[in-house]
Amino acid sequence: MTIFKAIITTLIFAASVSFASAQTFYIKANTLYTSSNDGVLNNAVIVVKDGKIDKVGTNIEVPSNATVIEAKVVTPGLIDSHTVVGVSGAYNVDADQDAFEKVDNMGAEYRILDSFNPNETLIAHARKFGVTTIHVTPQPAAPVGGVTALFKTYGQTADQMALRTETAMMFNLGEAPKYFFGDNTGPSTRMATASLIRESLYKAKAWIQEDKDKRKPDLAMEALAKVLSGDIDAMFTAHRDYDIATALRIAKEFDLKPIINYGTEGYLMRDTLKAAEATIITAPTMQRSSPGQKENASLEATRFLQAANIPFVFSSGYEGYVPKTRVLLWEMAIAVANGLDREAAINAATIVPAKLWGVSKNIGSIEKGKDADLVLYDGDPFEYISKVTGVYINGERVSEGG
Amino acid sequence: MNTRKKLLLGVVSLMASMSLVHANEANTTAFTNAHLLPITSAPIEGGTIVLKDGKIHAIGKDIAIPSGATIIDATGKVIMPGIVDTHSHLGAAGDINERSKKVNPEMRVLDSFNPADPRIKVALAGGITVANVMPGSGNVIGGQTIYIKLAGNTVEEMLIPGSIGGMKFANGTNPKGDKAPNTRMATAAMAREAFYNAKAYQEKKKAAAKSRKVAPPEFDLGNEAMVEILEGKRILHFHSHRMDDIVTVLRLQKEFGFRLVIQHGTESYKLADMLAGLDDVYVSHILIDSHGGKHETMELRIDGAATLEKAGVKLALHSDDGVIDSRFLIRTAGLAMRGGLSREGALTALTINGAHMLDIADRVGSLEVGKDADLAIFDGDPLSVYSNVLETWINGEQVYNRSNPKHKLFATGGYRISDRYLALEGGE
Repeated sequence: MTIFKAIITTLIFAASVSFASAQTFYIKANTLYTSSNDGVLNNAVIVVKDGKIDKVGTNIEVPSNATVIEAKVVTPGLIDSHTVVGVSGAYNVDADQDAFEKVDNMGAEYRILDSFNPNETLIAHARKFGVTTIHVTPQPAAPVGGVTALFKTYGQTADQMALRTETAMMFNLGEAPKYFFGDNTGPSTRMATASLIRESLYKAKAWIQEDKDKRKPDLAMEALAKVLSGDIDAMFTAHRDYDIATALRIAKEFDLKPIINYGTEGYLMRDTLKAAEATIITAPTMQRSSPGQKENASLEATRFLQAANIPFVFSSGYEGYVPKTRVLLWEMAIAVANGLDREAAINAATIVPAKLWGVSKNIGSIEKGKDADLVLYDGDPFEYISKVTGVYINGERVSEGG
Repeated sequence: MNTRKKLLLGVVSLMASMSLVHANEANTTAFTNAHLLPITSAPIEGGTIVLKDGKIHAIGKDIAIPSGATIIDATGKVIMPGIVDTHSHLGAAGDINERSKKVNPEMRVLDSFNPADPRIKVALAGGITVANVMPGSGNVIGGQTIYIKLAGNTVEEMLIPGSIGGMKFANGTNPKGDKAPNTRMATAAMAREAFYNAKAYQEKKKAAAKSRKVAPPEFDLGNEAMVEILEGKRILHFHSHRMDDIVTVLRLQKEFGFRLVIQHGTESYKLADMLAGLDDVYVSHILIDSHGGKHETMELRIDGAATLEKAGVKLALHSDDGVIDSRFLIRTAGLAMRGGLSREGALTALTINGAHMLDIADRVGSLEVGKDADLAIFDGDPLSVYSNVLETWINGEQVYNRSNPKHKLFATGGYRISDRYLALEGGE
C-alpha cells in the first residue's frame, strides 16, 4: 500500500468511526459464524450500513472504493447472560459495590438499572474480548434479588445502553442466601429461602386481584406481578441438583418459564431438565470448585447438556475477588476444548441468549436488518494466542480488541 | 554390635540392595519417537528419553536404549519437564494465615500441609510436578514455605531432598488490618525490625562460635530461619503487587542483601529495566483474567510478562492455587503469549526459571541427564487450549494417566470427584 493510500484509508476509517451510523463499510471474513440458519460461511462478506447489517453472503461484490476490513474469523457480538460487570466495580470497595443490598433479603422492587455505571472499567474489559451485550444482575444472594437488565456494552448512560430496562426477576436458592442472611433476618435454611420466594409470589397473586384503583402502590408487588404475567422472566440461582429441583418446583407452581442460573449440577439431572423444558445459564466453565454447592463442577458440563439437547447460554457469573470478572470468550474456549461443539458454543453466546431474553429481532446473529454488533478475530477465537482484532456495536468500532 | 546383629543387618541390607537392583530394571523406561522439549536445549523431533532409577538417564535422537527397559512409543506426543509452580497453597488452604500475630518466621507451612488434599491430584492433571507451597499473604512474615514433589503419602516423602524451603513475606494491602500493621510504613518497619533482630542473633551466634567465653543467644526458632535468609540459604518470597510496594521490597533487599523472588509482581512491568539489572532478584508473576478485585491489581496487564521478558527479567508464572486452579497454570502461559511473551519465554517461565527461584534447578526444570525424571506428556502443543496432559511422571513413576477415567476426573471434574460423574463416561 502506498503511503497516500494508507492515509486515505486511515481518513476514511477515522470518518467511519466518527460517523458510523451514516457510513457503509464491508467486512471480509475467511470464516463467518452467522448464528443464523446459514451456519458457518467461508470467504463471506458483511455489508454494514447505517449501523445495521445490510447484506451477508459469499457472493457480494465489494466496490473498489469501499472501506473494507478483513478478518480471519467473524462472529456476532457475544452476549453474557449473567454478569455483575457495571454494578460490582473493579476496585471492590464499598464505593463501587452496588450489586447487593445487604440489609434486605427481599428486593423485588430493586432495579439493577439504577446501580449501573456505564464507565466501570470492567465493561471495557468485557467489550475488549467481544462482549457486546450483558445481562446484568444483582449479586446472587437475596432470595428475591431484584430485577435484571440487558445492556449493550457501549454508551454514555444506562438508559441509552439498555436493550431492556427490566428483563428478569432474580431469585436465589442454595448456599448464598443462608450465608448472607442466616445470622440476621434469615433465611438460614433452604426451606425458608424457598418459602420466602413462594410467599412473595402468592402475595403478588393476591395483589393483582385487588381493585387497581383502591390498592396501595407497591413497587415490589408490581415487579412480581410482571413475573407472574410473563412480562419479565424469572431466573433462579441454583447449583445443586436439589436446589435446581426446588427452582423447577416453584416455576411449575406459578407457571413460570424455568431459567436456571449456574446450574452447576444440571448435567447430572438432564432428564429432569429436559422434562421441565428448562434453560440453563451456565456457570462459567472455569468456576472455582470447592467443598459445597460447586463441588461437582465439571469442565464438560456444557457438552453433556448439548448432547441432551438442553438449551443453555454462557455467562461469566459473579466474582467476589480476583479476577473480578471472567472473560466470556475464554470460558467458552475451555468448554469447547472439553468437547462442546464449536458452533453450539458460539450459538450459546449469541442467538440462543438473544431469543431467551427476547431481543433476537435486533441482535444475536449476522442477518440482514440486525444491529451490526460484530467481533473480528485473527484466528481461531478459542485459541489462547488468537486475538480479537476489533469489536463493533451498532456499526461503530468500539474496541480494538486484545 | 554383636556378630548375630551384624549378620542380620548384612542379610537385611543384601535383601534391600537386591530389591533395589530388581526395582532398577523394572524402573527403566524409554519414550521413543517423542517431540521432546528439553527447555535448556533445542526441541528434539522424534527423540528418545530414557528414565532410570528415577532420573533422566539419556535423552536425544538415536540413542541406545538399555536392555530390559520398558519402551513406550510416544509418536505424536509432546514431552516437557514437569511444571514447577513457584507459588501455590495446595494442601494448606484454610491453614495459611495465622491471625494471632503478624511476624511468624518460626511457623512452617509443613505443619499445615495435608497430602490427602484432592487438589494435589488436580495439579498433577495439569502437568505440575513441583510446587512451592506457601503460607498466605495476611502477615508481614507468613512463615516458612516448602518445596515439594506432588507425589507421596506424607509431607516428608514429598519434600525435595536437600531443600529447606523459602520464607514468605508480604506487603501492600493484605497484611494490613485492624491490628498493626495498618499502614505500609508499619509493614516495612516490622519486616526491617525482624531483619535487625536476626542480624543481632547472627552476630551473637558468630561471636559464641569464635569464643567459649561468649554465651550463644537464647535459641529462637524464628531467628534460626531468618539467619538462613541472611546466609543466602533460604530464598525470600515477597508477595508484592504495586510498583511502590515492590520498590519497598527492593529497598529492604538492598539493606539486607537477601535472595529475592517477587511474588505476583502485578506492576513489576513498570520496573522491568530496574529489575533486570539486579542480581538475585526474580519475578514470579501472576496473570489472571481481569484486572481488579482489589486496588493493587487494577493495573494488571496481559502484556506484563512480555514486558518483563523483553527487559531481561528472570520470570516465572505461578498459579497461587486456588486463585488460579492448578490445572490452568499452563493456560496462564498461553494468555501471556497472547500478550506477547515468546514461546520460549512461556515454557521457561513454567519450568527452569521456577526451578532457579526455588534453588532446585540442579534437580528439576529441564530434561537433562542426571535430573529427576519428572515429565508432563501432552497430546499436542502444550500451549494450545486444545491439548491435554496425557500423563504426568514424578521420579520416574507415572502418577497421572488421563486414559484412566478416575484420573481424568481430576482434569475435568470438581472438588468432589463424584461417582455420579464417573457413571456419565460413555453413558451419554
